Amino acid sequence: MTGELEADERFERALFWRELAILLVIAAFVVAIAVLG
Amino acid sequence: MRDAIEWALTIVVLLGALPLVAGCYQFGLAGLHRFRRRTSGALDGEPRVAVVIPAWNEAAVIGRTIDRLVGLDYPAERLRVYVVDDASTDVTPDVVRAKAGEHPGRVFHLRREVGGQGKAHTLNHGLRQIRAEGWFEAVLITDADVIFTALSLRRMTRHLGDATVGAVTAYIKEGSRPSNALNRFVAFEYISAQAGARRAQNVLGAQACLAGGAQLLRRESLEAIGGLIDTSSLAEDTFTTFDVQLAGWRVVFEPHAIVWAEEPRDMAGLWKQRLRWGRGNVQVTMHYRRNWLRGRRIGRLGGASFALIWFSVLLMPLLMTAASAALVILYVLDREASIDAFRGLWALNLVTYLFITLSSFALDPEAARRSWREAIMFPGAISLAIIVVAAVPGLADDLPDALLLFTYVWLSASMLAAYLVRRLEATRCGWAARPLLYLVGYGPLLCAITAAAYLQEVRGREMAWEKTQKTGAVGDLA
Repeated sequence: MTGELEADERFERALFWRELAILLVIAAFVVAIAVLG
Repeated sequence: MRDAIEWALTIVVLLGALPLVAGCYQFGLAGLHRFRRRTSGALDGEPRVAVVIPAWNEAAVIGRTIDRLVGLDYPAERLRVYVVDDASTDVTPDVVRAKAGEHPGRVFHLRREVGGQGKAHTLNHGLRQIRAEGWFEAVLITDADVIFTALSLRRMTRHLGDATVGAVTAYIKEGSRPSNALNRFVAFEYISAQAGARRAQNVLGAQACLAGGAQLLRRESLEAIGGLIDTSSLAEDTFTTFDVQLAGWRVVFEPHAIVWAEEPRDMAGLWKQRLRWGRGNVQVTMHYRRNWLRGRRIGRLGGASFALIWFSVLLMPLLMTAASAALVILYVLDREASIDAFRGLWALNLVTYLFITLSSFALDPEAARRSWREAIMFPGAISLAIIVVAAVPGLADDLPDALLLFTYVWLSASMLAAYLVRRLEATRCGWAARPLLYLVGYGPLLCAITAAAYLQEVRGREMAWEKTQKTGAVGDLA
């Protein structure tokens, strides 16, 4: 069980960085559209 | 005067983006889940858990569900399963009695000789019995078709180590195998509605709903709400969730406690199930009308963030229809202004679509990979085409007037189209319904059901607990 719980916490930590990366990609996309527009 | 009207109409159009803003807000919060997640706390061993399963003619699924529950990675002497048989007319009683014989002292068959009053009454029959026995420290309310993964209950109960937690819910995933297109749409919907939204609600400190198939209640919190489940509505799980929180307890979502459930395989079944949920949500909104936006006096349920999340879903059909009408009126008054408002609304739509779709792959890579086509097509091909028109500079300006008006009307007409697709499914041309669903979109179908729920509530149509038919289609997924 301990191993599974540690994996859960690792997933939650990684999720923060993944969400941040997605936000940055979308922000870059919006800026690109705005600049091209 | 004309300027004021145009501004007012533009605001109405942009209010149509409220659900999109709320969607982005929730997925943004979901990313912060690690900072609010509390899993520490002292448990003096696992609590004694009484599992309550309401069952009416569940012979196809109940035996396997019991087997999976007694086989959970949980101390056998601390887990009992009570099947409340709601006067079943099939072989459900025989199946349950056989399981009780296989697992003496662990599986119990509780029979209601007169049934048909609905799930809440059935649950209460079981709760009365369990409370009278007094053995339990926590109760797990589930459904006859729900399959718990081996460690899911342990993952849920450990939150009870925190003395402020009154109830815990799990991540219910669509488990039909082989899955059809509708199952995959539901699978993707559940990533956003559960893995995303409920993480966000953990961060906010207020949960909208304990998933009906996985409600773990601490004994004290059950007693605090009167020891029984609300029977006055079609949303007994949401009533429980609100009541527990209003009694001062926290309700927590555990995203890694995964349970599998069988969801409807056709639009008629989905419509019936979601209409019940939609009407239940309208009833909850009215019942707790004095609690909305009341601030911290009543805990996080009274916060503006929670209200934004709740009402953006509930009011989506109204907001979409109002935005659609405002765009058409704006077009009559000032074509250019209407195009600007249209582009603003659909630009937000694009950002939301990208954010939620990509986030879903981060939240549940397994389910997202399995339903990636449905993830992309969730808004429908027509809405995706409109997003492109709005996003590409100059395209909207060059559209013929008829097409431009169509894009304005589509915001609300998509719900009507989804309703017609659902009706088509029941005809000789039913084969065309699934491809048309990809064209019209699953999102508009959900909005159409919410709109239908309003109408039924306004008309005061009699509430009937219409059970979703289960066939035992959940695959071997533990």
